[in-house]
Amino acid sequence: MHFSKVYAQLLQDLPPELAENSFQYRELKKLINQIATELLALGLEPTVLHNLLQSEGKGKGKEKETAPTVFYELDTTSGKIEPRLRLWVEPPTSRVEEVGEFEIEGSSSLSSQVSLSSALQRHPEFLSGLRIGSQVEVVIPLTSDSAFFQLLATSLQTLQAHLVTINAQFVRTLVELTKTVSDSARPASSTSSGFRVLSGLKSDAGGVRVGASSAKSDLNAWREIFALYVETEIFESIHERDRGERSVEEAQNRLRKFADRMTARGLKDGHLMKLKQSQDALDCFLQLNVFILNVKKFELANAEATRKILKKRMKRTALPTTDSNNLNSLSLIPVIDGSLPRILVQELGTTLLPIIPSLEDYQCFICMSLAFKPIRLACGHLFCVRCLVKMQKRGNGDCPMCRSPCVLVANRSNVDWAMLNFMRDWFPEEATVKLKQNEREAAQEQLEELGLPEERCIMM
Amino acid sequence: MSLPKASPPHLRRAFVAVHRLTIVISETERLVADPVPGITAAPHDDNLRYFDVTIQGPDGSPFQQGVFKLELFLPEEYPMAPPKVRFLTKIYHPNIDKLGRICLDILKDKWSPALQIRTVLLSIQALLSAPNPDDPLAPDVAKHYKENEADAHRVSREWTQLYASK
Repeated sequence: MHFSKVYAQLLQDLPPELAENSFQYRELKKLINQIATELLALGLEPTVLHNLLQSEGKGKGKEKETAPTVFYELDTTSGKIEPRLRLWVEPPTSRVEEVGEFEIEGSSSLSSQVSLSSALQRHPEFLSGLRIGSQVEVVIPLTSDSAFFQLLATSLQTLQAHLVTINAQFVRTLVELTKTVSDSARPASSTSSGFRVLSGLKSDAGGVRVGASSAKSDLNAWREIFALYVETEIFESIHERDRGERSVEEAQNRLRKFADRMTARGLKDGHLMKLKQSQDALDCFLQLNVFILNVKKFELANAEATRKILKKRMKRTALPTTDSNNLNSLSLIPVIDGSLPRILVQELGTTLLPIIPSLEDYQCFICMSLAFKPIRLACGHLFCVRCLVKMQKRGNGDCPMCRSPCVLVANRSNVDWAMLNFMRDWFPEEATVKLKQNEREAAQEQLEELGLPEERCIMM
Repeated sequence: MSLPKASPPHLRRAFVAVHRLTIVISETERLVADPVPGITAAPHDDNLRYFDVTIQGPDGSPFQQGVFKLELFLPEEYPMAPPKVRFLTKIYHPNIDKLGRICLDILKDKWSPALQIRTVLLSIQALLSAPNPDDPLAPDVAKHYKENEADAHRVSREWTQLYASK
């Protein structure tokens, strides 16, 4: 199948606002045909031109005197790309009106020599009048090629501008979504009347109790969604094996898997989502991800189209895409580097995801669960009280993270009250569970230390 | 996970044991989901604290292209106490003795409860790249390494081919 068809097919599957701003592949292809015709009129068939441009490098020696040299130049002085061919040829030995022929050595086709020379006769204005030795300089502007670059450049410029708009729109929706989510995933302090964030007046960490919130908040559902989302690593892998951006197919599969897992967990229906706005926000969240996937497809298709069209031009006309003396001329054509999906993923990761504190950021590095009740060691590292008590009992005095000897000196004054309140506020359920677990473990340890038999019931 | 308040002690103890095991399980899950290149670790079906481990000899070391089998056991006190690790494959290395025991500070006095199976295995892999004959566990190998490193490397390579080829 022709790429133009593949490309059209691909665009059809994308939302119209993306497809409308696509690359004009067909128009560019037509222009390539025009360039080919134009060159043919000059007698420069692809093979001939190819040979001529090839000999340019080699012809520096003695041959230079006899073989014509052709340079392909991209004039950018006017701010536009204006390609032209600069030829150094032997002038006709007799007058131009007579059947003068340029000696083009190395060119295989006699007819091309004839047509090139006759073309030059018809366009004497190409002769720049410059002369070096016996050779005259001929400059042929390539109008269709100029049009090709013009269209390519404007095409890519519009595309780039459109991508900027897309980015801005995405950010706007994202900010809106972030507001909705933070409204529906409120911490305990905003939903339960009995809780005050500033309850640091208590000096006894043992007296801390966590009250489960009763008012409506989808904090836990959202935390689970985001944890699942991060875990699925839809667009980028953070694994040691395959770190980096994923392919479109892989991202698509993973996005589907993410949606399936949420359905399986009951997060998509009203089961775990208490608030209507949460469900709407979740839809929006999924749509944003589908959108990123589409942008990814779109950018990939355009990069492929650019590559293909330049390759086609090269094949049909033998004109190089680079200037013979200045490689940077194509800098006027913007490059679509395919980085927008990555930027969008990053925006999502920095704007939306952090509004709900994730358990990972508040876990004890020893037991890997919520570091509740949190103890801040003198070195600044934070652990849960239970793990530090265990360390103290074993006589391990070095901080597990930095080995500074501050575990044994830690006491009640090391309770991080601000953190404790924060955790009660944002992790009410996890904190309750952890507190119960701690108490149970401590009771068990006490029993063991008393040497009481563990397997039997004890009558007190 | 929750348990009625008036549960008998043996149930409570079971609960605590299960809770301790959840650390092991969650760590195992992470290990499987994001494996370290060149290292595998799989728990036994009948004992989740016992792991079959393989470590690939690091490129550029005499152990290159070898695959070494190890066993790793997480004691009840883990992560307060270090895991017990031992080479099952014979290896000619100054810090690993005939019985496969490893001389590595983090497995002994420098253990930290914040270390994990992953970090331990990475350290062992690094030990293969950087033998330390000044702190030997196999004195004869260490002597060989100190006196004629090239020849010691030759023996290490031979052993790798003999015992650790795939």
